[in-house]
Amino acid sequence: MSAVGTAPMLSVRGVSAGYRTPRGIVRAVDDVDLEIRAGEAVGLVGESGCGKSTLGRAIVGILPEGGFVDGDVVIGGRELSKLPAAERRKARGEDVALVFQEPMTRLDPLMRVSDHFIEMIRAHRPETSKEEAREMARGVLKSMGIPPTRLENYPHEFSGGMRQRIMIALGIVLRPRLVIADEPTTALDVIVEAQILALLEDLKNVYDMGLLLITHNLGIVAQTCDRVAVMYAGKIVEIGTVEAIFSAPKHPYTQGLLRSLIHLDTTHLSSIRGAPPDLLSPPPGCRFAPRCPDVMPVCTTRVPRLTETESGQVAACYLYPGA
Amino acid sequence: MIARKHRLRLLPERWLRPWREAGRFARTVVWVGAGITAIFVFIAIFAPFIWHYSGTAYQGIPKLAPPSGKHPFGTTSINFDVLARVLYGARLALEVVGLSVTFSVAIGLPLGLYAGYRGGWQDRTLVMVMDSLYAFPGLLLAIVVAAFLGRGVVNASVAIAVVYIPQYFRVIRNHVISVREEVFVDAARALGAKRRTIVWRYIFFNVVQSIPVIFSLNAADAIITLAALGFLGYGVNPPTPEWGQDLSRAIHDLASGVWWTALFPGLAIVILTTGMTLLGEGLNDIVNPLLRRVGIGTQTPAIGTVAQGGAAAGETQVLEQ
Amino acid sequence: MAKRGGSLGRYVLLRILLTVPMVLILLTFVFVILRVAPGDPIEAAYGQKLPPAEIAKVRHNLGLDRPLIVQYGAYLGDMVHGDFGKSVVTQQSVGTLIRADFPATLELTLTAMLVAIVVGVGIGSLSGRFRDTPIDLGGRLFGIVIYAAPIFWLGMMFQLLFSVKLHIFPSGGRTAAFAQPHHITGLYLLDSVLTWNWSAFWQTLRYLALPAITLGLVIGGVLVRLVRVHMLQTLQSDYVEAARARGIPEWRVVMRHAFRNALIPVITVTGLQFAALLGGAVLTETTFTWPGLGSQLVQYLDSRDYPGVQGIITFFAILVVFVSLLIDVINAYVDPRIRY
Repeated sequence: MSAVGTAPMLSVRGVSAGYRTPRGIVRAVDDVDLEIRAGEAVGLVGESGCGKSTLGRAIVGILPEGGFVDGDVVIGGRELSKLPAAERRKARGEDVALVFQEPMTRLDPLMRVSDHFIEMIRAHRPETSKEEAREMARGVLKSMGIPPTRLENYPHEFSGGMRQRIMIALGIVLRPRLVIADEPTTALDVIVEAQILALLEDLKNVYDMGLLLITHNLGIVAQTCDRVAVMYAGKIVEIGTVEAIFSAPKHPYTQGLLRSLIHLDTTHLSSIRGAPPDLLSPPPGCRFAPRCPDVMPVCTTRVPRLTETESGQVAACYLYPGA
Repeated sequence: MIARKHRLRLLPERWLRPWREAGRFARTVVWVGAGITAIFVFIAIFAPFIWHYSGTAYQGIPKLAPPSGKHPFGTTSINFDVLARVLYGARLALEVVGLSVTFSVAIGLPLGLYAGYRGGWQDRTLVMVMDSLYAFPGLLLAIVVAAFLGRGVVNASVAIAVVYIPQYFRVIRNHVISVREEVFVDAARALGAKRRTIVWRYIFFNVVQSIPVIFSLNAADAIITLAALGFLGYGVNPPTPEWGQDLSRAIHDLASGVWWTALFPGLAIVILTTGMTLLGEGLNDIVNPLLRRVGIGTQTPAIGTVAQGGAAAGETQVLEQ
Repeated sequence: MAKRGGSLGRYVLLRILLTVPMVLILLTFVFVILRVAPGDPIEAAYGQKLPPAEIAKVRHNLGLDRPLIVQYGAYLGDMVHGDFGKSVVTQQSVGTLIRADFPATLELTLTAMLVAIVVGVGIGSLSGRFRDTPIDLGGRLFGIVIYAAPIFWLGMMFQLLFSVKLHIFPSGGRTAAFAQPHHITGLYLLDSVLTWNWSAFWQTLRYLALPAITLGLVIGGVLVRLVRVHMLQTLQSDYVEAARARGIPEWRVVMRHAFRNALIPVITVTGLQFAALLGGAVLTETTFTWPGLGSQLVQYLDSRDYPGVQGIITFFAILVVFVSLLIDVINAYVDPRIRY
């Protein structure tokens, strides 16, 4: 795996993001650090509402109305928040692509597929002619397994799986350094899911792109990713290699999450008791403390930091010295 | 019956929740609209106590006098006091609005319930007839009906009512169809509830909450339609004070620069209609969470089609419980 | 492309076939209202003026002494042949009259529609784009208040201001007596362009301005609210978010993705509004003494000329059906998802 370089290609430092609501500010992402190297696939897992999608959007910088992002996002050495607005806009699509969960509604129903590509390419490389853009589109569609002859079709003429391929093709046509895929296969059936995941893996290997795969499905993380980040209630609680996390999880939440998986030899269902905290007023100490089987007095008053538990594995838990 | 007890406890809560969750803007809009409407209702009821001239008094009143202390809104070419005409006009307007909306609900609602619950060819026929009626220019319809029925309060109300019947029909029918498919109706059926019980207890209560929205928007529309009928001479019999009729007389004063006979009755219409529209739109914003929760449907909540907006609102309400 | 054209053609054909039952229902409806409604048209028109024998003769001449079902059949038959009947009072053919007066109404409604679209789409999309700002508040308020204003009152206020006080525009009529263009289509604006008669063009425009703006503003008020809501919806749509994530410039996201998609339902409602426009035209024509079909309808109604009313109303009904057909075809052309 010579492709995995040493300098991080994405570096997220102290990022908080969330939404202003009538009831107060919701910090869906709270002071998160994360790094991804070129050619590396990182899985971001957690239950729904833990802030993983918000983190993905915060990196790209497209939170919906009423949203906010603090902290630094550095992609390929450029710090996005310090760039002027026009440069930041250009970075989306050139440096980082975001692939969404529901492919059915992500393409403009009034535009041909070719027009999506032409618009995308010419928004970033105005000197490209329409015919050149079409040629680029044909190439990338072909690599995604879409016949180039369908370039002039409308979105409604494609199936969900094909639309997701088109979305990915649109995302990577300008060869960004990083692809963020937010539950890219949740809306698709299992066979199509496997195909899409294989495509994403190819991108990583062939083009040396970084991949942040956001999902609640631990299975596809095990299959696709090199490292895993586990998120709980707006915070990353554990990061490690896939092998380490699956064989020796350190954080009690990760442990609970893995226990709740169903295997062939599962005889009884296990789940984590309780419910995630309200992000409007999260608990003062460790956010998992109210549900944690190993809770200690210190957990309810102080916030644990990520500390190395083993080489290449960090967890935010007072069970391990240094937190 | 478990389901019934459950429902009785939930009903007020379910109706109040959207109100509490609505933004300050939507609530202000509702209050302003309700306030304006209330003022006009007050004027309509207490007109004789507000102003000492009656709408049809002419003795001792000069012709076409400009606004003054004695006649704050001026006087007309046939010796009426404009302020008195405006005040008493509110009385007639609200009377006709009340009557016409009652008529159209009385016909549209049962037809809609019937078509929606019954389905089949009865439904298809009614829908086709109502759609054709709806496609026809409403104002033209009202004008023709009014012209043939002749002038009068009840006749004008009927003419206006005809226009709105298809709207109530559509809303109610679409609503019934969506509610009919809901799980809880099946649940009630499984519990052994009678068909009629199902219709009345479940569908009716779910349907009825979209009525206030259409009601206030149609009421606003009805005020304008009545004025139009009056303007063309198909409203009520003179000298009954009616804004539209007064405006048709005022048009002849314009050339000589007399503005007060035209301005004030028109302003009354604009203000009352605005009030009712604000009330209806505000309620619509609150009942229909379209703008808070995105992507519910592609139906268009606009005039005329507020209908579907209301129905969509009902659907989400139902899903929430 | 050929494939697309073919399916569009099939769609249009189907859609045309679908208008047949709709026209039939509307014609039946017009007949029921005007013939079965209480009151006898001949009595109403001539009651006091002619002896009973004469009335019977008129009735017989017009075929009004036949059974209703026969009259209904004859009415439908006439319609198929494009015969709109005859006025009781003037004995004039309604068809001739429509040919003479309709251009005036068409000129008014088309210009008003133009005003409505410019005002409605312009203000509505700005309002939606700048949601919850003073621009939005102003746009929404404009939409509500203008909709609350009766057309004829708005027209009267304009007359007062622009004709009586400022003497900018005339207060009524279709054009100056000396400035009528040579009759080609009956649309004065078009005719004066075709004949290079610029003074006629200018005069027509002056006379047309107030009625068209009045009517257009009121209809535009409806469009403002509609366009605004759809802009809000499309601006929050998934494909707009996806376009933003691809780094498409914001103005392009708004114009090409949000605005274009917001216009699709607006086209449909604009078609529906055409019906309202015809109703409004009756009031506008009366207010501005505009010599169109609306004024003619009011005259017929006032003289209780039932067959005359029936002819014009039938014409309006067919017009409404035709416009809804046109709108559906435009929609199918613009929106690739609509194909049968």
